[in-house]
Amino acid sequence: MGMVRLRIARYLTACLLACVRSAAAQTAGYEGQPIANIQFSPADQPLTSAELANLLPLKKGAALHLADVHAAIQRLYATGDFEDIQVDAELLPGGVTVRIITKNSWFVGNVAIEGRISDPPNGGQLVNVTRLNLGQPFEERDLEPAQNDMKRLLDNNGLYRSQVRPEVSYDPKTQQVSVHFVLDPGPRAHFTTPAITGDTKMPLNELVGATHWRRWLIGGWHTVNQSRVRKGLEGVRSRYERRGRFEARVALKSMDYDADGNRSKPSLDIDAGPLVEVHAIGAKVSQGKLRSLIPVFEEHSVDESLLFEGSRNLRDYFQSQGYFDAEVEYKPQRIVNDKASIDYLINPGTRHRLVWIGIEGNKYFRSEAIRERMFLMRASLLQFRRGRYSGALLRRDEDSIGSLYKMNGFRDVAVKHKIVDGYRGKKGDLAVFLQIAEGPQYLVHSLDIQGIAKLDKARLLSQLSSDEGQPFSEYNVAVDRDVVLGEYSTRGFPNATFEWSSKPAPDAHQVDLTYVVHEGQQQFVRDVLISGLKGTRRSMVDSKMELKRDDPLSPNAMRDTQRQLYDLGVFARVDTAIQNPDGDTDSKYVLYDVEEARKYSIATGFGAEFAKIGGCSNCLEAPAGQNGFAPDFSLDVSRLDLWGLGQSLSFRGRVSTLDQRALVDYTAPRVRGNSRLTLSFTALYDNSKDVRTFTAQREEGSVQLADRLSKSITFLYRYTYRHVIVDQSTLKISPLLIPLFSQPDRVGEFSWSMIQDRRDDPIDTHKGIYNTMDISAAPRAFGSQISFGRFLGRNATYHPIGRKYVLARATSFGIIHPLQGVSNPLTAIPLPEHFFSGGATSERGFPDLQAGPRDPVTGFPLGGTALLMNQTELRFPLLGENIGGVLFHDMGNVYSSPSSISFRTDQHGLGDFDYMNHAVGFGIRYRTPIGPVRLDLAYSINPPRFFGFQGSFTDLLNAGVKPCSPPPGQIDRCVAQGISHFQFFFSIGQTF
Amino acid sequence: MRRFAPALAALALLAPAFAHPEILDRIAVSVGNRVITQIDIDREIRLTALLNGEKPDFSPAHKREAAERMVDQSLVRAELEASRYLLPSAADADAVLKQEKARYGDESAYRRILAEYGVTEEDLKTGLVWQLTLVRFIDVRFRPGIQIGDDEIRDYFNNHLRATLLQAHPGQTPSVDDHRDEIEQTLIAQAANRQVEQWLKEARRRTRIQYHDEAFQ
Repeated sequence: MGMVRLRIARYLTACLLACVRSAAAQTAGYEGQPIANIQFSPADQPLTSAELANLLPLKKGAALHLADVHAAIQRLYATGDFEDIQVDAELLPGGVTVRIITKNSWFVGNVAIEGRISDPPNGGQLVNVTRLNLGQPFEERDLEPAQNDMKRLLDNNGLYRSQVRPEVSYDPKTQQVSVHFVLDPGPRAHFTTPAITGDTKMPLNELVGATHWRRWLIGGWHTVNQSRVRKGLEGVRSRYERRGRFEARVALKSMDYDADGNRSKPSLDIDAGPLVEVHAIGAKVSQGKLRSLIPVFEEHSVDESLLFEGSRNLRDYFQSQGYFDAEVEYKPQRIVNDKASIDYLINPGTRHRLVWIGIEGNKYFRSEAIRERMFLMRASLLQFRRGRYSGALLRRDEDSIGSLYKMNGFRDVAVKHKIVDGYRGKKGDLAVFLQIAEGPQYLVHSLDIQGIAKLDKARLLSQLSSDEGQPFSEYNVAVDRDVVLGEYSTRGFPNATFEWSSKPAPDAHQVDLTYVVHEGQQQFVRDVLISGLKGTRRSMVDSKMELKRDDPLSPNAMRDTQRQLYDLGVFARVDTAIQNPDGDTDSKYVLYDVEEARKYSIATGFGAEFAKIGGCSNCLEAPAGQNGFAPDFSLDVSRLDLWGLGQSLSFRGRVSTLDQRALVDYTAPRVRGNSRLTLSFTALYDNSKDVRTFTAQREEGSVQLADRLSKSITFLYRYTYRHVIVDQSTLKISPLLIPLFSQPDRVGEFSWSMIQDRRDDPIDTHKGIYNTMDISAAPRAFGSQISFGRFLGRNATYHPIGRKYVLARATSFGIIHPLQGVSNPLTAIPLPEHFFSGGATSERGFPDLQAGPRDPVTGFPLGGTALLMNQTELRFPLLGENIGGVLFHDMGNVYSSPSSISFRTDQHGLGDFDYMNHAVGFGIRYRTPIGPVRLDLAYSINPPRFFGFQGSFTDLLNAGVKPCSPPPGQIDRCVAQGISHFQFFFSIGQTF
Repeated sequence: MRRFAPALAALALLAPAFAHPEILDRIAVSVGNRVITQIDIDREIRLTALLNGEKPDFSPAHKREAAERMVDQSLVRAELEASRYLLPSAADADAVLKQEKARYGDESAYRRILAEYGVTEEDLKTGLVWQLTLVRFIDVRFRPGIQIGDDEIRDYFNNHLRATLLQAHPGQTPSVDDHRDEIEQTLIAQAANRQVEQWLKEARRRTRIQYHDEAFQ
């Protein structure tokens, strides 16, 4: 029997490469001769003379040994820098001249597509399909398969007449090869009537219709691309699915190209399969639920594993509904007369509620700490009305508790459970008791680390988990291993290894731990090569480089640089790699290959706003607003990477029935090479009637310098000049005030803002702080017509309470005050500069922008010069995982002046608005990838009441100086009214 | 003229060496980041010829065959290094060399044969150790996972052994149970060989292998 193995072994027999004493006879004459000279051909080599000398075992003056020649070839080749090596010798009177003839290796650099790219496929797909990976060895023979794969991709997208030609350029200095594929896509082919074979059980016309390959209404055929082909097949499958043929098999056999007509004829092979009916027997389950739970429908096939998965999903579903003992079995498919029947036999058992989870035996961890890690949950009023329980979840919790203890040195921990049905005599109530036998805790008695020579051992030790006296666990050792190897990797030791061993210490339950590190050779950066830049300036890219020549080769620094290059916003793709990664050399080129993003981006949007924004625009009705609807359209156009410096010019326009806005913004990041500084110039035109009292035209120019001091703190320095014209005809205020408030407003304002953001998640915050402060001054010297100063600050904090609840609060305070002595700031400050607040993101007791002082006659809001608001929210899970609830209390108001700020809760008469409004409410949050969708219902406890004027503008003019106190005989048109106690808001994102 | 005769004679003797540079060694095949050189192939041909008792054949086709074998060896060697297999000890090496030497009769015959083939004792020893390493590699890497069923043993017995046994022992009814272990070992070895071949095929696919045709001339 051994002969068979021996045959293989004989076949593979040879001596080890290192043993080369049996040199070929014709070269034996050189053995032992003194080496007179060592030459390289060509003289320019990719390695430095020092590196070559270090690698070569051949030394000038020493005796020549063929074994050394062999070793020289092996070592040089192992660097990866050479494709071929030959060693010649010439015997001259002074000795042997050894000539090492090399041929360089080449490595993939920039791979790009040139010419017109007819998307699909896009440039990235075309590059990817070549499989020419950055930094990997390149040979010319790699081009043909790359070209073929590219052509196949183009054909699959209907570009049968496309032509691809590679252009290769070599850089001998860096051994980089740039491969540019010049593409002529040609015209895209159209579909034609598909050939359909097989047992279709459906008319041909219907099948063709299901593919959507034919144009709707206008006739003719769509152009071919991979996506359309795939969707066409899915369309046919879907059509069968709708007919109940879930096992239908639809396969694309071929796409036959007709060059004359530039058409592609798909050939489909179809097996419609039987009509499939799935029945749930023993319990009521809707067809929709069955479809979502049983993968047969989605996978379009019926097999044992899918049926089994279906039964498991059904069981889990029933368990989640409180049927913790549910059992589900399936009967194999029966096919009779073109009908397949699948029966799921369900025995739901008794419906339970998990009312108690007991944790016993735990001393090291508090029960709350354990409970936080568990999937099992007791029944609660709203979120899980029957609790969350299943056998699988119970096992998972036992495992995770066991792991938690083991991670902390309790190697002998045992977790068992006891289930009590009919807990406390109540039928259906279930209690789970988890019994934890902790056992002894094993501790590290001593830690011996060997092999750390080139890094700071003390620093590394300080990062380890398994220190003396600390719990001993394999988890901690694994963490230490990651720390050690991570540190070595960061410092350019890619081949560092970590081994560990332990043995019992003299004391019970203690171990002596030993770590052995093999550092390996440190690698350095030979240089950083950047390819793919077209318009972008190299200096901008260089400013982001965290690696430079001779630095330790750190993969972390490479990745950080890649991220920073993406953050510039000018690159669609940034690839990074090490050139010749497998080569045995100590210094490597670090490569970055970029693809610049499109220079222009255009985005359009449609939306609508529903709020108390209704009511006629030139009458005095409904000062508190009516429910209204405002559709809007937006258009954004940006020119990116201006002058190759990453600067951008953007236009943003928005048109709605409430607001017409155009904004042009020029942003220059990295001012004077400082990545913290961003300079922007903005021009704005805004025609707005979002404050219901007036329509204003705003023309504004600003220049702003943003200084990002740290990850969480940003300062903004801004100068703004604006000219606001209030349309006199739209002012819904007392005629006496119109001359005052309709004055044009020119403001030159310098402001300083600070933003401190330490939130864990800006979209849905659970903990952290968010502070903003804005201080501005608008003296006449800056171009203002009226000198005033403004302060607005906000402090928001978020506090997690346990694992489920978050208490969030925010306080805002603001004042505007004339810089020259004026008795009434409300009339001194131009109307558009007032604080207007209230609504969805501030005080929810008011409709949007309706807080604060109002016109004494018409009741329309006038805004104020002081603001104090406080919002408090308790956020909690409500239903399942994605629906949450909020209980909130908002208090505050906009006040006529800073000195009028008051905490009193009652309104002193219909002209008094300087009191504190309180609102409480309830909200629902539905978690989505773009942030929670929000619905809030607020109840204002003390909404303001005020006079409104019943009549037209003319009536108001004719009503005299005191319309609400008319002389006898005149009609009193002033009617007391108020803001509704109830307000609702619907939007995206948390309130604050 | 007579004065220069010795010098001319010496010059004539060394003329080939001085005439032009000679190739000492060159890459014949690269396998990943390892190389097989012209001299490696030359030595492989000599060693294989010695072990097989054949005349060394340095034709290009035969060089190519030798190179293919060495590519496989290189792949196995890379696997051995990566997986840290236990290699044969020095005592194991001495034992296999002693066993091989016994094939040649006395010491002088052994030395003469080595000289004829241009193989050193160290080459031979290394080659034999490599054989041993390979056998162990196959045993450890492939054999443990192989399971042979009763049906396979019975099929092998019926198809390959029964007729031979009937012929060798006429009149006796051969029983599969008498040969079960032997058959099982054969089938395991065959399966191991198939797995080795499959593994080599896969390793070749994964590894960048480049042949330098000039080295095979």
